[in-house]
Amino acid sequence: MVPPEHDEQLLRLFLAHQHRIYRFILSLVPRWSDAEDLFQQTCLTIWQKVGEFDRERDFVRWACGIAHNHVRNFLRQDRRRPVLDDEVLEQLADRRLQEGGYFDDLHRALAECVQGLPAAQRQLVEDCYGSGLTIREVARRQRRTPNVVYKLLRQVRQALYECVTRRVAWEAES
Amino acid sequence: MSQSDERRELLELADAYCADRLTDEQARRLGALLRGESERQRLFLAYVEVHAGLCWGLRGGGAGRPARRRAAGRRWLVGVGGVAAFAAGLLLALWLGGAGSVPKPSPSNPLHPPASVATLRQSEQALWIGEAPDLPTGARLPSGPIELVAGLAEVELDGGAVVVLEAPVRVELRTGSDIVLRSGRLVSRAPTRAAGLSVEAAQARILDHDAELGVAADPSGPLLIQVYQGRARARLPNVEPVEVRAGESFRIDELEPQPVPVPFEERRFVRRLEPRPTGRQLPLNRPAIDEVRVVPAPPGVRLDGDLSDWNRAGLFSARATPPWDHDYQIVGMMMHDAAGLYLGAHVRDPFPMRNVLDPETDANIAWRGGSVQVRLAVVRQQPWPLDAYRPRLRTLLRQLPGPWDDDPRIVHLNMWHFAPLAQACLYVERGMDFQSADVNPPGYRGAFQRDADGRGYTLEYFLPWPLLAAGEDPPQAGDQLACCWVVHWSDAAGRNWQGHLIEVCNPLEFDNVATFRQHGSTFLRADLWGRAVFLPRWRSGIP
Repeated sequence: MVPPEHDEQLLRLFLAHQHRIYRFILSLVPRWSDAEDLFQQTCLTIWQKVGEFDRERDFVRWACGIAHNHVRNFLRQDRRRPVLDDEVLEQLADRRLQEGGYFDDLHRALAECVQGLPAAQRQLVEDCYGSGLTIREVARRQRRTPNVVYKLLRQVRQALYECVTRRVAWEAES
Repeated sequence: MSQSDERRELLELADAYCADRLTDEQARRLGALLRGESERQRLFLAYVEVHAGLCWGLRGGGAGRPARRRAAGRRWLVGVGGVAAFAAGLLLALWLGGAGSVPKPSPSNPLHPPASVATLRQSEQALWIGEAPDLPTGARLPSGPIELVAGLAEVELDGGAVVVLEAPVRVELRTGSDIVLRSGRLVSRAPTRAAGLSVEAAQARILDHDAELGVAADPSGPLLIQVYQGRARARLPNVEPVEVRAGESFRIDELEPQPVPVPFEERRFVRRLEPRPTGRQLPLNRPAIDEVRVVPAPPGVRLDGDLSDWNRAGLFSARATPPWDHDYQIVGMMMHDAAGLYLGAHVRDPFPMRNVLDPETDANIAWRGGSVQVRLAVVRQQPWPLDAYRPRLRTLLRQLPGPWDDDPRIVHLNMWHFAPLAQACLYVERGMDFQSADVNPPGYRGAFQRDADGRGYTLEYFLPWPLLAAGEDPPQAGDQLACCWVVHWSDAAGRNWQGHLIEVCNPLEFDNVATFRQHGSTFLRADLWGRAVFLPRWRSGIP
């Protein structure tokens, strides 16, 4: 039986770090519906393994290790489309964990960079990421072709990438 | 392949990866680029982080977001926000057996409520978004976002600096000496004894020690910094820090490699909350007219500041309440034809046509220097009264968004005479959310003429229907569209707002609102507007 205070501590850790686990999964499995499933499976495993967690350990590494196992299994079983091979994915997962602070900085900068987008681009981001619609559905609503929406979305992602990396570099210098 | 070519290729592949659109060949190429290359992996993961962060923040993972519709066919029944709740709930239920010792996650920090970092010193006609729209003087303000949708407020940060906020403005209070200006205008004063103040706005961080400075941030436009006293330093990405001294103004635009000096305008910002020179609460009248007739324009109307060739069948007049009634009056009129809308007015004004607010830099506040505003909704499907609100006001009133709130056919027209260039200016804002704006857009024509006695002026404007987003479906005879007129008066300098008069209003709604703050907020609520009744157009052969 795990002592309650241990549970409470782990729950707090989970609530504080859940976005890191989710983002870690999404960096290896970019399709968000797959990532959602993997995140939920990871949550369940975290509970099942609650007794194994050593409070002296890094919670994010421990939880992301669980998530990584789920990702491996998923990619092994679900070969709808080859994306990146196992070796590269392992390297990416390691890099993601080694430089977690840097990616957290980027994540923090993202909200402000989204705020700084022109209204039309902000709306596109909201439509494509926040509405639950597919790109095809968004395109139909906007009376555009899906290709045009993909292109516009690429421009927005690129602008956000430039913005977050510039911001983080600037903050590191100042 | 050069480094920049390689970087571009990697980013394009990263985007295709995020969009789940990699071809087999691209996937192989991406793998080859990333294998064993730590720098490339870092760049790739940084790009994917944008995608992951958007998914987390917008798919519902961010705390406090409303539930969103999910696409069909998902294997789980809850979204990511639901996942978090599900996971937390599961953990709570299974680990703690329902014990109440763990605080619930909430939109703010679940474990540590935000600390207070500032005090509201005074306010004028202020309307806040949030739990307490009427914050009392002396209220303590916690760290986090605050938003003022109407009026002025003076806030003292715990570090000692004083900030004057001018609505509409969105600010995030970080600490007692660190704030972020999301949009709008503020003036900060950091006295010597204060801990200094750091203002972050758009892409700049402005450090204020012993200075008084104004900052204006437009999320989709340039940043403007103006220093009244002392010196401030602005830090910008990829540029050496800029020192701005008293009497200097700079515009910072992402399109410009360096800050660009702009003319210093003393009255560009509200520096202090002081009683108005007129010493009274505004507006200067109580609206008495609920309808203006938009009459047919006769052929050959000249725009020359002389209304003698206008069809005056639809004119209305209004004046301030005594003792200001003699000097503050308006006679207004509206006409239409197949090409567009005509707006004409004669305004009694002790300081006519002196507006010095530059359309290039200050179009959004040009009303302060004296102007005539007309608000009109060319939404033929939804005749008067129009239930359209500023979205932030909906939030405040805990209402759902209305279908017309962001309709671009709702236009706010500000017409003023820019004295330095003797120019008839036009500023058009669209939607109750002011989603877009144009300064002196192509197609309009305008003219001003000063009265012989120097105590008033005449204005005439023509606006083609496409400029009002009504080119496809212009108003027709019988239409009753929401409309409101506002006249602003300035001081002798043409900069400092003295008061305004509102006319053509919905009397039922005005009877429902008790305070001036709501009464004066026609830019917030279109249901306060009266109506413009369109009469049949001039038939050929009739003079």
